[in-house]
Amino acid sequence: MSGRWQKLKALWASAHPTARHIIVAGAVITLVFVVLALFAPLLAPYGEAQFQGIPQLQPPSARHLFGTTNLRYDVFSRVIFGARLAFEVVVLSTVVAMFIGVPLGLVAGYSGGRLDRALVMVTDAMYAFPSLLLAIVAAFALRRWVGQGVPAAALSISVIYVPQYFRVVRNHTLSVREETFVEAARALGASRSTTIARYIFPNVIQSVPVIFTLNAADAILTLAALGFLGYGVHVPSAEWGYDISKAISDAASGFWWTSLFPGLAILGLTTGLTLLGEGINDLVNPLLRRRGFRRGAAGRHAATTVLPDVVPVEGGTE
Amino acid sequence: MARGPGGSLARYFVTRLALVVPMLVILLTTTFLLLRVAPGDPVTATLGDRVSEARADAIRRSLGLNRPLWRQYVDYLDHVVHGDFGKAITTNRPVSSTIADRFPATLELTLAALLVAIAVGVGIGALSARFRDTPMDVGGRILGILLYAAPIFWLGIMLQLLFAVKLGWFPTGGRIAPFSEPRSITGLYTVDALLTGNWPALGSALRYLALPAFTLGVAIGGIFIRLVRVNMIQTLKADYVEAARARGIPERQVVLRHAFRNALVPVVTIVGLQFALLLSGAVLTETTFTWPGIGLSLYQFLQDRDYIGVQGLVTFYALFVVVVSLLIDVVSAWVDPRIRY
Repeated sequence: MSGRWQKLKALWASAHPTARHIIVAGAVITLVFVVLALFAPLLAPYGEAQFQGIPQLQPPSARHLFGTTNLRYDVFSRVIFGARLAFEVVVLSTVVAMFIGVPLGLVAGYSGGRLDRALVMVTDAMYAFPSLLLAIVAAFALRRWVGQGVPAAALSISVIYVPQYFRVVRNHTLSVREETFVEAARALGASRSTTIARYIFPNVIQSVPVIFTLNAADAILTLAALGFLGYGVHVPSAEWGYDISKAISDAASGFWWTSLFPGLAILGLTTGLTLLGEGINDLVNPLLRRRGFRRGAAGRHAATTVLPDVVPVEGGTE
Repeated sequence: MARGPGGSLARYFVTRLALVVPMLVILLTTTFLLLRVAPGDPVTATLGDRVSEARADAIRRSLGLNRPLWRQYVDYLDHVVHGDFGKAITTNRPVSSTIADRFPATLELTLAALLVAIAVGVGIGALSARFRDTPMDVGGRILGILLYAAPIFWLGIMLQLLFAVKLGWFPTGGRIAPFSEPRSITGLYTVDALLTGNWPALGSALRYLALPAFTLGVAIGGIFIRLVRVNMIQTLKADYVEAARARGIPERQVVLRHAFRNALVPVVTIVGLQFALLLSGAVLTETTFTWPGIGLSLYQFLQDRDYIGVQGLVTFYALFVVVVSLLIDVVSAWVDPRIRY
C-alpha cells in the first residue's frame, strides 16, 4: 500500500502544473459542496420545506440571502439542502451502476465469445440512445412501481451508467487478460474465478475512480434534468432542477433570484467534479497506458471509443 | 474494426445496414420492457378515477392491453414496422400525427443549434489549439467546461431573463408570431419563408428561433470545443504538418491549409456521437421555451402520465437515432476511406 502511495506522490510531482491546478481547484469546489451536504441542517437558516413566517417572492436580503419563492421557501436553505440530495442520488446511482457494470464487464471481457458479443451489442445500442430519455423512461416506469424518491431517481440514473462501467471494464479486462502475469496464473492452474478476482480485478479497478468522478458530474446534470421534467424526487424535497422548473414563470415576470441560485449551485458542483475528473484522468491515464493499455489487444470492438463524451482519452492536459 | 483497403463503400453500407436491425430490436425491446413489464395498469395510471371501470376496460381492450404480454410485444413491433406508434390515451390522437405536426419544429431547432455548436466549437476549439497554453487556450478550455456544466434549461432561463424580459429583443417562447406562418413546404418555418419569399415570416421565425437555438447550440458547443481542441493539437503534431513547416510554409498557412482540414474529418464523427445529446437537450430546450416540437409533446405526455404517448414518442426517438447514426457512419466512411469493414 505504501508503495502505491509513493507512486502516487511521484506521479503528482511529475504532473504538469496545469493538471495539478485543475485537480486542486476541482477538489476545493467539490469539498465546499460536500461540507454543505453533510452539515445542511446546521448551515441552512430555514427548513428545506419551511414556509411559516417567510414572506412571498422577496428579493435577496440580509434575512433571506438568496430571496424567497412563490411558495414562501427560503432559496438559500433549499440550495443547501439540494446539495445533500444531489450527493445522495449520485452516490447511490453510481454504486448500483458499478455493482452491475463492473462484474458484467469482467466476465464478458475475460470469457469473450457469444455472451461478450451480445452484451457489447446491447450496451452499444443503449449508448446510441439519448441518455436523458433512457433515464426518463426508467423514472416513468419506476414511478408506478416504487414511487418517486431518492431510490427511484438513483435507479433511473444508474441505467445510463451501467453500459459505461461495462465498456471501460470490459475493454480494460481484454488487454490485461493477455498480460504475462495472467498467463502465468493460468499456467499454474488458477481457476477462472481466481484469475479474475486475484489478478484481473485489482488492475482493472484502477480505471473506476476516473469514470466515477466524470460520471458524477454527468449524474448531477441528469438528476437536475429529471427534476426539471417533474420526474426527480418527491415534491417538498429541495431538488435544484425541480426548483428551477418552478421558477420559469417567475423569470417571465422578472423575478430572477428563484432560478439563478439553484442553477449556480448545479453549475458549481458540476464544474468542480468535471475539473477533478479531468485532472485525475490526465494524471492517471499515461500510467494506464504504460501498463499496457493496448488498443490492438482489445480486438474488434476497440475502435469504439471508451467514453466518447466525457473522457478525452487521448487528449488530457496537452 | 478490421480495416482492409479492399472494402468498398457499398459493402460497408450493406454491413452497416445489417447492424441496424439488432440495434433497433434492442432499443424497442428495452422500451417495451421498461414501460410494460412494471406492474400496474397503464390505463388507470393515466386516467386514474376519471373514467368508469367499464370505460377503462374498453380502452384497455382497444389498446390490446388485455392480451398476453408476449402477444403485446409482437403487436408492438408489428405496429412500429407499419409506422403505427399507438394512439395517445389523453389526446385520443395517433402519436404518428402528433409527430407529423411537431417533428419539423424539432428538426429546425436541432439543425440551427448544430450550426451554432459547430461555429462555437470549431472556432474556439481551433483557436485554443493553435495558441496552446496561452491565456486564450485557458479561457477556451474554461469556457468549454462551464458550458458543459451549465444545465441547458437554466442557461435558457438566464438568456430569457436578459434578452427577452429585460431587453425585450426576443420573445420568451413559441415558434413564430401568431398568423404569420409561411406556406408549408418543408415544415421548417425559416426555410419555407425563404422559399416563398415571405420576408416578414422569416424575420419572425428567426426572432423566435434565436434564443432556443443559441441555448442548445452553446450547451452542445462546450463539448465540441474540447473535442476539436484535442483533435487539432494532435494534427498540429503530425509528421506532414512538421514537413510543411520544414518547407518554410508560413505557420498561418500550415494551420489553415494543412492541419485544419484534416482536423475537421473527425468532427463529423464527433457530431455523430453528440447527436443523442442534442436530442436530449432539445427536450429540455423545447420545454423551457415552449417550442412546439416533439420534445414538448413528450413533456406533456410525461405530465399527463400518458403511457401510450410516452411509449410512442420514445419509439420514434429510437428509430430516429438509429437512422441518423447510420447516416453519420456512412458519411464518415465516405469522407475517410480508412473506415471500412
